[in-house]
Amino acid sequence: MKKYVTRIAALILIFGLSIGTTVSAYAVNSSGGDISVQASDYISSYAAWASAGSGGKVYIYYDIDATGDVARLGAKLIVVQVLDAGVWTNVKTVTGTLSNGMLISNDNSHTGGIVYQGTAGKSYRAVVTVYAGPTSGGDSRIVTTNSVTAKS
Amino acid sequence: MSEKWQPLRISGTNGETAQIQEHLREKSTEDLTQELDDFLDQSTDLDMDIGLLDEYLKIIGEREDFPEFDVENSWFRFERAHQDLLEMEASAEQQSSASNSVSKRKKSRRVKPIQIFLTVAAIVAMLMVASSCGVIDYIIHAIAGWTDEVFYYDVTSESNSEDIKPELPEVETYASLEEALDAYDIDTQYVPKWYPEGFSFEKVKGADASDSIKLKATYNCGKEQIGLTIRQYKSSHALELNALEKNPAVDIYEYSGIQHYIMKNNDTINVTWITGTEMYTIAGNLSIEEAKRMIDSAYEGQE
Repeated sequence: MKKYVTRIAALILIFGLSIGTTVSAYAVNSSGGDISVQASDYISSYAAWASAGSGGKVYIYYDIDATGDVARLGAKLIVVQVLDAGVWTNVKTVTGTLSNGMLISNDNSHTGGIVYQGTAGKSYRAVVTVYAGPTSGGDSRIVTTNSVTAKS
Repeated sequence: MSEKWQPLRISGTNGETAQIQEHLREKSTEDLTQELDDFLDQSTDLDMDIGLLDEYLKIIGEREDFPEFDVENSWFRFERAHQDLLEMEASAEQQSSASNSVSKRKKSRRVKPIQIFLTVAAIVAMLMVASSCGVIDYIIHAIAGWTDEVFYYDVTSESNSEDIKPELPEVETYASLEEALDAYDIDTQYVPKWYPEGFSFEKVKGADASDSIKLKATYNCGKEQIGLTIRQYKSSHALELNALEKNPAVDIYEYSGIQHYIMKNNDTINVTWITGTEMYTIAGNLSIEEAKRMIDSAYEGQE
């Protein structure tokens, strides 16, 4: 019995040390046949996602990295949508500005978010437009977040 | 003491030795044997005359009529003569056997701390895993994919984000990358240690969005810039919806068993890989060769 417990504990130790430290990443190239160059002179990477908090709150996050320091950087527009009868419907639109902090100036990285007061049990997502570049004429990208169910 | 045995001492001189030998040769084989028995019985380790013993054995060895040694009879006589000694020895063996049993039981009790250690270590290891993942039982499995325009990670495992309490991101600036990594308790062992010539550290920002942590360190060389971004995810959504801008081609550079994805983004380079629970990105004004050298430096000192 003691040997059994010792062996099980040793196996758990080995397994515990191995998992959580390995992330597998396999490559899948899904590019189509036509070659189109649509990289960006200003945007290096971007992301947007949603998360459900308590009390019906829905958090919409955005994150953008520029290729260098740029005059304007962040989220130009966030449109929050609710799933109603199988159709995504716009419920709130937030425009990004320097004053509300969704846009910042003279930087190369910005992470931010907004909170929407939703109704528990309903599904929400957001369509986020991120921007990087000069005050005008830069590059924008549109990201639709994951959907989340508002919690009570 | 045997009547026939007279204690003799050989002082070592040749003359005395010859006399003793002559004396012994005059005796019968039976007398010699008996005298030898008596001599051995009466002698101790401290006072045994080895020289005399040798003479006895030498003379006996010359005798052709030396009787065959009766082992059983000899052992019987030995037991009878030394009964007390044997009883004491038997008693000592029993005590030794009993103490060995006790020490064995003690040794077996000593094994328990090892079992306890392994059990505790296993629990600690599992807690470390949970801590590093941020969410209990959450393991990220991601498949890298790309289109002509963007590179992304396709997360294949469902995250358990029930325990995450989202908050608006808190952004902080730090004096060094090491300070930022320490502030967010991010492992530093895979951070690149080499940067292209001329680039120097400018700033580092950290953003904690509850389900993900992002650190970005900026290195400048005149108007050129290289950014090192380290992201740690506690749920899959932030990783799954992260895209890197790119030109069509992707170069997969494998080093230290990890695949690193190198892609051009017009005049800049984007590099990304996942190690442990962190996603690393290098982006900026550097060549593909310099990017590979930075990747290599991230593993310097690793076994």
